[in-house]
Amino acid sequence: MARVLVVDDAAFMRMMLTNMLVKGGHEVVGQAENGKQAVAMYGSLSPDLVTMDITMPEMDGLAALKSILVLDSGANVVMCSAMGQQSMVLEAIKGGAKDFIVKPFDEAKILETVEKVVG
Amino acid sequence: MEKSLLFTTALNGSFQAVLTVLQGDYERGAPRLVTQHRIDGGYCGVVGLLGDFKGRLIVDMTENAISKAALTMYGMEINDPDMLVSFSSELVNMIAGNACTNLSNGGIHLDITPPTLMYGSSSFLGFPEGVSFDVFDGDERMLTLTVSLEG
Repeated sequence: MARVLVVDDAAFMRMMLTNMLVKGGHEVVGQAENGKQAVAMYGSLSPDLVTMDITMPEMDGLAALKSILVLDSGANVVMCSAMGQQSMVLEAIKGGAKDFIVKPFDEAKILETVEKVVG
Repeated sequence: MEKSLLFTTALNGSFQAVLTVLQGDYERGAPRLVTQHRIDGGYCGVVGLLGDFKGRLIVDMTENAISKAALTMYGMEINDPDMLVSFSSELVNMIAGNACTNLSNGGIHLDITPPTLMYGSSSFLGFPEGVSFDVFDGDERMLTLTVSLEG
């Protein structure tokens, strides 16, 4: 079981991701609606894994990824985005993301990725 | 890239994105040139396009299209008005994001802004020339998609 922080500006996606993760036996320890909130919550919650949307107001997912890695160089961050261009995937992976999931995604893909990243 | 070819590429990439995201057997209506768009109920999202060219993508969805998408994609009905707004916004984001991914395969590199969502009856007036098409499920219009490019 992993302790997960879900980050997405869409309340619907936070709800769907939370449902999928809980159904898969994981614990969602927090939900953030932008990158700024995510960085603050990462510091206080120390989750095992973060699912991170990219296009968000206030602070986008790539900037939040960088800030979280400053706090914890071993952080497990999985990017979840509607955009799957090779350049963006490469930027995220080079930036330290552990994996990249393209929306729309299903429960099996989410749980498989969590398993792969946190073992 | 010549503008007409750019429009064709953008339209094809956008329609393919609709099919990928909504996961339905939908058909595309004939494209038409527009400089305005009228919203008659339903939810309409506007996404800014940045990168190799600037413009906007307008996705005007009927409530029925949104409900069908929620059922097909996540097996659930959405009754909470706030969740309906959130899901509609995310649908627009996914269609625009997937369209950009499709375009990147053709060598056009774009980024998108977070969607702005509108509900009710209104009009977008005076944007640069765009191309619009309807997407149908049988005889029923599910959504109208407009791509408008600057320059």
